[in-house]
Amino acid sequence: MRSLSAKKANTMKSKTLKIDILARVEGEGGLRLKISNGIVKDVQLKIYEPPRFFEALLRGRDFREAPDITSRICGICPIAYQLGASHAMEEICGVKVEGQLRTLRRLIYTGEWIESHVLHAFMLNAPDFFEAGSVIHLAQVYPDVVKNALRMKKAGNDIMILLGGREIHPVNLRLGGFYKVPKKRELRTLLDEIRWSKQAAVDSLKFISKFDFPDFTQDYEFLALSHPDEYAILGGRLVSNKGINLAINQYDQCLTEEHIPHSTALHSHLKNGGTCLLGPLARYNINFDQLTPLAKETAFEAGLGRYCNNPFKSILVRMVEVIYAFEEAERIIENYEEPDSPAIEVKPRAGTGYGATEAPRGICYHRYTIDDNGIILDSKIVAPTSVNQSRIEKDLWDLVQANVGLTDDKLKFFCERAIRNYDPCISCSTHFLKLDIERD
Amino acid sequence: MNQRTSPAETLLICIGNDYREDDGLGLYIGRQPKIKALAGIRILENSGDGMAMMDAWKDAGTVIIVDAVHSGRPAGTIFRFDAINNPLPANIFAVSTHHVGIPECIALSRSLGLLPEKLIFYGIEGENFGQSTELSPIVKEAANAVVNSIAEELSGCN
Repeated sequence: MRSLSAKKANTMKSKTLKIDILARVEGEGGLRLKISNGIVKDVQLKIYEPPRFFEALLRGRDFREAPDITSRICGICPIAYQLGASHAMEEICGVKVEGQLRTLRRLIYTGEWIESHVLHAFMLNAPDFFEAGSVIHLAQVYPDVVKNALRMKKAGNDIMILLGGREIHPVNLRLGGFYKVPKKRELRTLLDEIRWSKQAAVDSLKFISKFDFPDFTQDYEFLALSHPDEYAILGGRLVSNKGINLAINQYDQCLTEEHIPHSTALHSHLKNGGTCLLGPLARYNINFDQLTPLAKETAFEAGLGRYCNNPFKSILVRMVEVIYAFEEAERIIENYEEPDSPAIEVKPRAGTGYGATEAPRGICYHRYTIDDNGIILDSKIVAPTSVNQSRIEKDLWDLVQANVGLTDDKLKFFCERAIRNYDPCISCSTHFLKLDIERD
Repeated sequence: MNQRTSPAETLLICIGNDYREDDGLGLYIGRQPKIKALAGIRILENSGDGMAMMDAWKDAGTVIIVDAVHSGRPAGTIFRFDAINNPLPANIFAVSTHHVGIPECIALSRSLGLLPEKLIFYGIEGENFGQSTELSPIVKEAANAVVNSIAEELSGCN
């Protein structure tokens, strides 16, 4: 395990360090650091993946197309886009999807959380704790851990496939519900693997808890959806640990987007100019009480308190959420009753609607305006990484300053590692990574 | 959930995207009647998700992968690698930061003891990767040559 203590050498030089392509993150981008006389002068998380103009291409399309078009924004979290769009359109049209249809939406979302979190925790993030270049090296030392991770991920994929038709860009979701709902017996075929995976997730969290975590905490404003009846996934209110408590349709009162020269992704930040952090840490800190007893107990055994503000420990929190997701999937399937109809009819009417759900990386926000014929007149989509970017830059600033004496190679590795804590999805936010460090 | 390949079958994994010109050559190969008519073959189309490939090949005896490559060689150049005995050269694949690609999946499977008995990779150097469903003529000619090679290779096996 790596020592991250700062060294005092080289503090009188100025230079720029550059990571041209950040590895093991979703999408393409880079990082440029400017350091002068040992003081960090600039940190730029550069996103150079071309902008994709989804909001523009939605204009003029039929409102029923929005879930499938927006799901193409990301292969890792398509459900976040499909359901955010669906919720917004349904709100406009006065439809509320409840009962088993809502529960099935929650079930497919657990599949998305599982596959995304397990992929990130083991394939992308865990190798950092072993100075391993990739999961391939990790697999040579801990083959059973990696095999179990692959099996857990597959269990998540299987939920997506059964409910969505396929694991990437599912095709079975629509406004009002689904094109086809599963039979009770079909869902129950998933149970054995879900139960095995739940225990594997508990064991995996115990394994990860032995990692050597850098001591780094920040005074974050955590922002997550919060729901009175459940650990929020499908909706709720926008709640932060520093006083935000708003309805989803008040999102634009709270967060604003701006273009910045060094990124093709919009930067989103709080209207008061502050930054906030979305994602697993935010959800855990805002909604801890609503986790299941097993998830809480395993979190405590892994050394987590009921509050965590060390981003290097986000890997632990992701695995707590994986345990929760498997438990939730098991509970839903055990109690499933086939609905009378796979979907509620959604007839267009003019208006503006809002949708937000908890994507694996945090709140994914949608706003649409449609006319009486259901033609989309305006759209706004904010991926969680758009919001987290400025917070990542702030954290990197503090991290680099605390470790400015490290050699360039070690500093580059440390920065890449720090960025991976946030599991940024650059594909969604443009949307990532090169590192450029300038010292003079 | 997934259909499994028995050790006696050959799994042909065809990688590509129909809508990006020569990137669709793997799919084109798997859809040729001469390939579909081969005895004991199971054809799997894949968009490049390595994890799904690993899961598909772990129980298979013989696996053949076909995909477009980008090495800087002349368009239509055909590569054939025995991936069990030799690591695939990483520099012929496009850089991907968010997918676990073919070389990584083979290396990961090797570490985990999940490789099939035989794993052959056919790559064809692409020419155009724009937005169209058509293969470049020179790439299509090479793809047809790979169809014949696979047919001969498997006929020899059977």
